[in-house]
Parts: sequence; structure tokens; C-alpha cells
Amino acid sequence: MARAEGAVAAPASEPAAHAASVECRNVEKWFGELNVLADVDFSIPAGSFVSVLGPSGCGKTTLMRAIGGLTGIDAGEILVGGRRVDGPPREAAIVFQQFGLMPWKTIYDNVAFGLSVRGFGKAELEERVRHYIDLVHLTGFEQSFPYQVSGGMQQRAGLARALAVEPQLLLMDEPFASVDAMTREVLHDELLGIWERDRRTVVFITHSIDEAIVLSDQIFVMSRSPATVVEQIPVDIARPRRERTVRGLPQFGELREHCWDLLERGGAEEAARS
Amino acid sequence: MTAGASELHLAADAKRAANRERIRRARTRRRLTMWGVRLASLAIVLGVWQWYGSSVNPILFAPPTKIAHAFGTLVADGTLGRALVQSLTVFGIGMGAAIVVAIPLALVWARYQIVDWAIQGYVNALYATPLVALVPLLILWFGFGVEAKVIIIFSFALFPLLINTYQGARSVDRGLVEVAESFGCGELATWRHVILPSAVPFITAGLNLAVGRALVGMIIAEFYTSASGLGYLVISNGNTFQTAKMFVPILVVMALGVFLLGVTRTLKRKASPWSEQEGRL
Repeated sequence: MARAEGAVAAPASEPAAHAASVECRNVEKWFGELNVLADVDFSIPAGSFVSVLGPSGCGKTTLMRAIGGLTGIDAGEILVGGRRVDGPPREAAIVFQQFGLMPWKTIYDNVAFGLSVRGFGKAELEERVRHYIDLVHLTGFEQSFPYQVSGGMQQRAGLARALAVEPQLLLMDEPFASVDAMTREVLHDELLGIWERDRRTVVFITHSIDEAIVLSDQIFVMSRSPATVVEQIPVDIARPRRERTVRGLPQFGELREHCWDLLERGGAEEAARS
Repeated sequence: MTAGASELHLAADAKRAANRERIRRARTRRRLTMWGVRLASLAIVLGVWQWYGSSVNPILFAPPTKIAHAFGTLVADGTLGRALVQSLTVFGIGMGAAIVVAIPLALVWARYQIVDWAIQGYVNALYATPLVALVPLLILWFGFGVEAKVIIIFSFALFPLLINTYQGARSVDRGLVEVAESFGCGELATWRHVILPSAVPFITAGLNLAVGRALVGMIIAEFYTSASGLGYLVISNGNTFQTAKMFVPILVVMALGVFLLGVTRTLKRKASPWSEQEGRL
């Protein structure tokens, strides 16, 4: 499964042939007169789970779109797996906030989408699709259309579609913002379980402090526009994790307070306390 | 489980079954009422028609019984069958040609900004023009034969198809185009996986409109061109004051319209079941 494309600058501790590092060097982005991203500078080691935390509308989605090659940048550079981003990188797959499923495709065909675009043969495609549908607990719903299943299930399909191409970098744009709170908690635990097994690099965009703490190795807190990374907070909580146990830990409260202070100083009093 | 608990279960089951039965009966009653009202309404309309149709000058109107008799005569001597085949032939060719031309043309139109700038004005102007006004011109150019009829039907059906397909391709969800892009779709793959499927409900809606307009075009073409088809049957019987016979092709065209619109509506539902559920997405 480990594909040998792209020389990965992995840190010594992580043997991560299936994970790509991400580097942003002095990234700047303007929408006309509006400075959206200012001097964004960080590097994410291969195999690490990083949450980008910031108030709504601060530009964190723009940052993710830039890493995913969906939007250009005006200064600086972004490297994925050591290669400069210019269009969507082959190493990356995105999980979208509004799921981004094709309403005319069945769950099966949606999950198969990335693979069929990449020209996978029938047998391997089928095997992988079955595997990832099973992994996100959608077995039995292969022939349903997205409108026939719940929001939580649609996002499971979105996750399976991204995982199916076995990306070295998974970009997740507030993926659980549009599902209900109980489903979200279940999905957190499932994502933790999946991620802890193969440790692909994840960049997870969120405005939820709790979600960032529960999932990540590191939290990048962003300021309001022009957005930049204010602090990179390591989350030293042992894995494997589960949401309920993490929430019970003393570190959880401390981290939460710390993130909250940073966000408030960034002028983001109205950031969601969800 | 105690005996008391299982009895409670049984009671609940019985209650559920009774409820289901009640709902089923209410539904049956509703359906029976619906058909009763429809049949009664039909009987009243036919009755009044019969009474009024028999009491006025037969040149002006005809009662259902006479129309039925005329229908029998026209079927027996083959006139109606021949006219129907002639009409359906030109309708089929004209409609088919409109589909084959309009859909690819609309896709090119939606894809290339230059084409959009170049033709949008004409298409909108022609769509707004009552095409009946162009019929004499088309006859002048293409004569009175089958060719002219096909071209008239074609031009009536073309514009709704063209404009709907164009709008379908244009109104594609940008988010889904990005999804495709992020998974490495090139231009062609994006059209195949995203733009075309999302245009399908628009295309079938255009088809529905086009069928209605093509039927109008068909009758008009048969009024003005050589002696064939259902339209000619209407005109010729009208000109000779055989009013009962004139009603027959009118009713056949009516039935044809109802049938064809039903077909395209079904096609729309079957071809894009998701679009019926848009509100839930």
C-alpha cells in the first residue's frame, strides 16, 4: 500500500512513507483589497494530526483550499511532500464541510469516485471501495443515494471517498460542522480509530476548541483577518484516545482555557464555544 | 418475562394492527371517493355536451355519440390511421433532430464564453419570437412537403431544449466542480461526472416544454402545407362542414399530447430521482 511517490521529508521518529509533510512559507493571500492570510508560516511533520483553529470567517478555509491547490496564493510557497503546490496535489484528498457528494451517484459510486478518476482497475477498485465503506460503517447502504441517508452517513461517505484514494495528506474542512452533536461525537471516535491505525498527515480545519483538543497532536490557533498562526500548541495526551476519556482529563480543561485566551486576544469573542 | 408483561405486549400489538387496518381503510375510502367524483364529473360533462350538441345546428357543434360514430368511420376507412402515422413520422423526425442538435450545441454554448457572447442574443430573441410568424417564411424556403413540416417542428422544439440545457450546464454547483478538481478530474472528466449529470433535470424539463411546442408546430405545419396528417384532417373536415369528423383528430391530438407529456414527466422522474428531493439535501 505504501506508494513510493514524492520524497517525503519525514522526521526521524516517524517511518511515514504513506504520509506527506506540509510546509507553508510566508504565505500571503489577498481578495482584492482584503488581506486574508498574512505571513502564514509553519511546517507539519509527516504523519501528524494538526487542527487549525480559528473564529468563523478568519481565513482558515482559505488556507486549507490553498494547501489543497484549489486556490492560488499571492506570496510565499506551500509544499506538500516536499513538492510545491500548483493545482491539487496527488498526495492530498479533501473532506468537505457540505460533504460534496454527487447527488446522482449512489453511496458506492461516490466512494469510488476518486479511484475511478485515477483509473483504478475494476477488481482493485471494488476491493478498496468495499473496504472503506465497511470502515466507515456504511455497509448495506451502497446502493442508496445521498438524499436517502442522514447527514452523518453522508459525511461518512465523504470520509470514505477521501480515504479510498489512500492519500498521504487528508485535508478536512470543518467536516463535522453540519452534523448533530451526538453524531459528531461518534464520528470523532471513529476518526480517531481510523487515524491511529495508519497515521496519515491530517490538516483539520475547525472552529471548535473541544474538537481540536480531542483529535490533534498540535493545534494551530489563528487570529482574525488578516489571519496568521498565533501559536502552535502541542496536545500531549496519550493515544489511543476516545472523546469521553479525553474530556475527563485535567489537561483538557487547561488546554481549553489556553486556546480560549488566545482566541479572545485575537479579537474573536464570538468564536463558537461548541 | 412475566405473564403480565407478555399480555401487555400482545395488547400493544393488537392495537398497532387495528391502527394499521384503520389507516388502510381510510386510504381506500379516499381513493374510492376520488374515482367516484371523477366519473360523476365525466358523466355530467358528457351529458351536457350530448344534450347541447344535439340541440344546435350540426355545422356548429357535434354531440359525443356522433363523434364516436365519426371516429368509427374514420378508423374503418383507414383515414385516421394514415393521418396519425403521417403526423407521428414528421413529429418524430423533427423532435429527434431538435434533441440531437440542441443538446450538444447548448453544451458548447455553455462551455465557451466566446460562443456565449456570439449567440446568446439571437437564441433569446428567437425563443421570444412567436414562431408561428416564421411559418410562411419557412414554407417559402422549404416548400409544402415533408421537409417543411419537419423543419417547422424542429424549430418549435429547438429553443426550449437549447435554453434549458444551457441553463442546466451553467447552474452546476461550483462546490461539486471543486470536489471533482480536488480528486484530479480534468475538463472532460468534470463534464462527465458533474456538469452533465447535474444538467439532466434541466434537459428533461426542456424536453417536456419542447414536446408541447412541437405538437403545436406539427398542427400548424399541417394546416399550411400539403394534405397530410391530423392537422389536415381537422382543416379538411372543417372546410366541408363535417363537424363531427373534425372533432375526431382534435381529440386524438389531445390524447397524444396528454400521453407524450406523461412520458416526459415520467422520464424526468426516472432520470433524476435526486432532483425531486432537492429540498432535503
